[in-house]
Amino acid sequence: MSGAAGPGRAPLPCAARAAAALQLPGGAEAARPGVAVIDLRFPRGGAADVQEIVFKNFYTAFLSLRVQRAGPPGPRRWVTCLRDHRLMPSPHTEEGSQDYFSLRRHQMLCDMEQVTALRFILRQPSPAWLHFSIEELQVFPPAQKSPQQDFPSWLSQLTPPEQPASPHRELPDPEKVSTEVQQMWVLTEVIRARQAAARIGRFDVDGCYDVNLLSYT
Amino acid sequence: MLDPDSGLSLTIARIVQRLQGSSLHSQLERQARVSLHKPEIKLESLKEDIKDFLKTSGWEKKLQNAVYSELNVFPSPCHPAAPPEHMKEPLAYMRKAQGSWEKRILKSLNSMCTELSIPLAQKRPASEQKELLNKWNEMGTDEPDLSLFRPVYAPKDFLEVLMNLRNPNYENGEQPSFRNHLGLIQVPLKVKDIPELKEDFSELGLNTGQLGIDDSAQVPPEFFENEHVRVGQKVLAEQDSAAAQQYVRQGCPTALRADLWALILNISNQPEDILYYEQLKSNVIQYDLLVDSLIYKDVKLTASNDDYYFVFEDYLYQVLLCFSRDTSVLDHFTYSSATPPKSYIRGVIPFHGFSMYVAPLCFLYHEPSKLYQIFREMYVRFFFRLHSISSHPSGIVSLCLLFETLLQTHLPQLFYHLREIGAQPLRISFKWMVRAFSGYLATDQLLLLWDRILGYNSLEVLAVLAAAVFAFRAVNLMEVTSLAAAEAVLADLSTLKVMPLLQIFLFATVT
Repeated sequence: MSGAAGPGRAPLPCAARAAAALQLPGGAEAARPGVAVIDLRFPRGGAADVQEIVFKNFYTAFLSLRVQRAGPPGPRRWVTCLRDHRLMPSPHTEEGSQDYFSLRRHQMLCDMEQVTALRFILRQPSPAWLHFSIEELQVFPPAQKSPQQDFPSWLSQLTPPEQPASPHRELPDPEKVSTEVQQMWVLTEVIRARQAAARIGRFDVDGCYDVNLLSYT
Repeated sequence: MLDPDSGLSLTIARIVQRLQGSSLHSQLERQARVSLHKPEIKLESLKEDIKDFLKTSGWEKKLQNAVYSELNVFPSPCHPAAPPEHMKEPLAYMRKAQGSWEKRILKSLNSMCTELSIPLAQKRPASEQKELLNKWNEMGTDEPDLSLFRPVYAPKDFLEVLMNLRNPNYENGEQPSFRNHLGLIQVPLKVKDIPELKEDFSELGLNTGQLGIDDSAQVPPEFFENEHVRVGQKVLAEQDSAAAQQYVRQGCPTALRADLWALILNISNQPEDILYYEQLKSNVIQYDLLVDSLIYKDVKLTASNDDYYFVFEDYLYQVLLCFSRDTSVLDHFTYSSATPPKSYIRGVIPFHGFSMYVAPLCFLYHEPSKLYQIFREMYVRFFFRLHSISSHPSGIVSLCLLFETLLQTHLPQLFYHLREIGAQPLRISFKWMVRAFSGYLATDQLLLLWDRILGYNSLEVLAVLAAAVFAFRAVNLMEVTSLAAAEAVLADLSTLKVMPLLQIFLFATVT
C-alpha cells in the first residue's frame, strides 16, 4: 500500500471486504443502485482506538461511517459517526473523484475508542459513472509519543569512563573532543534535515550534450 | 482533503524550503547584519528592531512579494499520502493520455533525427562558435536550409488527441443521452457558468472603469484614465506584487505595463539573473541542438510573416534558443501533467506557433535578459497549461469545455446550426486559445487581454473571449453553410476590441 505514514505511525492491520452494492430483494437483474457498503474488521476480533482514516477516493460522492464498539456483552449496536460526508462537490463532474482524503477523530460524531468494526456506506447518486469505491484504505491509531528523533538517546546517557592519568600532555582532553564531536554530529543532522530547495549553480555533466536519441521509457 | 491547520503548516514549510538558500535569503541576512551598525538597533529588543528596520527599508515587501509569487505558482500541497504524480495530475486516465501523447511526439522527433541523420545535440566547432557569437544580435539574417524540417506537431493534431480523450469509468454510451456532450470534448470536467464567471471577474463589470473601454477618445480622461494612471504609479512606488495584481485587472496603462508585469511576476533583473542568461547564451554558442532548427523553422513560418512581429525576429531567436537550454524550467514539471524526456536537455518541445508566446512581450522589454526572464516566468505560470493534457481549471481541456458549454448555453441556435453544417465551433476557436490569441488580435488588444490573465492568475478569460467573439459574429455565422465559410467569417480578428466584447458577453447578455 502506498502512502507515507507520519513519523511513528503505522496503519492498523485490518481486513476490508470489497464494496458490496445494495440490491433490492427479489430483483431479477442487477441494477446499479448507487449505494455500496465496505465492512472492515480487525483481525481476531480485536478492538482498537481509531485516530485517523486515510483513503483514496474513486468516484464516490458521499460517505457515511458507522462503527461498532466493544462493550457489554449482548447485541452490538452500530453507531453513526459520519453522516453524508461530501467527497465530490459536484457528483456529475470529476472534481474530487480521485483525490486522497483524511477523516480525523475530531470530525466524528461519536467516540472512536475500542472500535471492533467499521462500516463505510458509499453513495454515488449520479448515473454517469460505471463504478465507484474507495481504495487504499488505511486506519491509524493515536500516535505514541515518540522519543526525540534528532538526538539518539544513548548518546546522552554516556557516562565518562574512569580517566586514567594521561602521561602524554600533548593529547587533547578526550572529554572536550567527545563533546565537540557530538556537537558536530548534531549540526550535520540538522543541516541534513533542512534541505534547501534553491539551486546553487549549474552543473555540467561531461559529454551530456552529445546525445543522439531521446528515450521515452 | 487536508484540514486547514495542517494544510497551512505544510504550505509554510514548503515556501520556507524554497526560499531558504536563495539569493533573497542571503540579501536579507546581509541587510540585517549591516543594520546592526545603525544607532536605532538596540541590544535588548534586537529582534523587533531588526524586523522594523527591514519593514521600513522595503525588504519586508520584497519578501512578501517572493512568498506571494510562490503561492501563485505552486498548487496547494496534496494530502501526505498522495504520490508525486497525483500532484501533477490527479486523474489517472489523463496522466495516461498525456504519457502516450508525449511518446508520440518523441517518436516523431526521433524519426526526424534518423531520417535527416542529424544528431539531437552536438558541440559546435570553434570557427562556427566564433561566427555565431559575432552574429548573435542578427541571427535573423541567417538563411539556413530548413526545407527538410517540419514542425513536430501543430495545434490541430493536439485537438484530435483531446477529442479522443475518454474517462473509462464514464458512461460513454453509443446512444445520444444527456451524458454525451454535444461538443468535441467528452470529458466531464467541472466548468463555471456565467453567474460564477460574473462573480470571479467582477472587476470587469459595467460599473467599474476599464482600460480598453473607458480610455477611448470619446471619454474625457478625467473620468477614469488619469486617476487610474495615478494609482498605477503609486502601486509601482510601493513595489507590492499583490496590489499590482489587483490593479492590473482593470488594465495597465501602456507606460507602466512593463514594470507592473515585472512586479507581478516578481522579476527584478538582478546581476545573478543577467549572469544566468549569459551562461545560457554561452551554452547556445557552444552546442547545437536539433530543437534549434525547429525553433528557427517555427519563427520563420509564424512570427516573421506577421505584420506586427517580424521586426522582433532576432529577439525571438535570442530568447527561444536560450529557453531550450534552461534547466530551471524543469522545476515546473512537478506541478505540470507533462514529463520531460529522459535526456539532459530540458523537455519542452516546441510546436508550430510556439514562438508566438514570446512575440508580444518584445513590445514591452528590450533588454534580452529581462525579456527572457519575463517569458520564462509567463511560461511556467500559464503557457505550459495550453499544450498539456490535465484537469486543471486553466488547462486547455477545461478551457475547451468551458468555451463549448458557454456557447451551447447562451447561443444554442448558433451552436446547433454550426454543428449541423459540420463546423464544430471548437475546431475554429482551438487555435486561438492554444496561442492565447497571440497573432490573431491587434497587439494593443492582446496586451489588454494578457493584463487580465495576469490579474486573475487564470486562463479562463481566453475561453470567455472566444465565446464572446462567436456571439459578436453570430448573425453572419447563422448564414454560412460550411466549415470553410465559417472559418472565413472568423478569419480576421484584428479589428476586434477585446474588453467591450468580454463585458457584453458576461454582464450585458440576457440570460
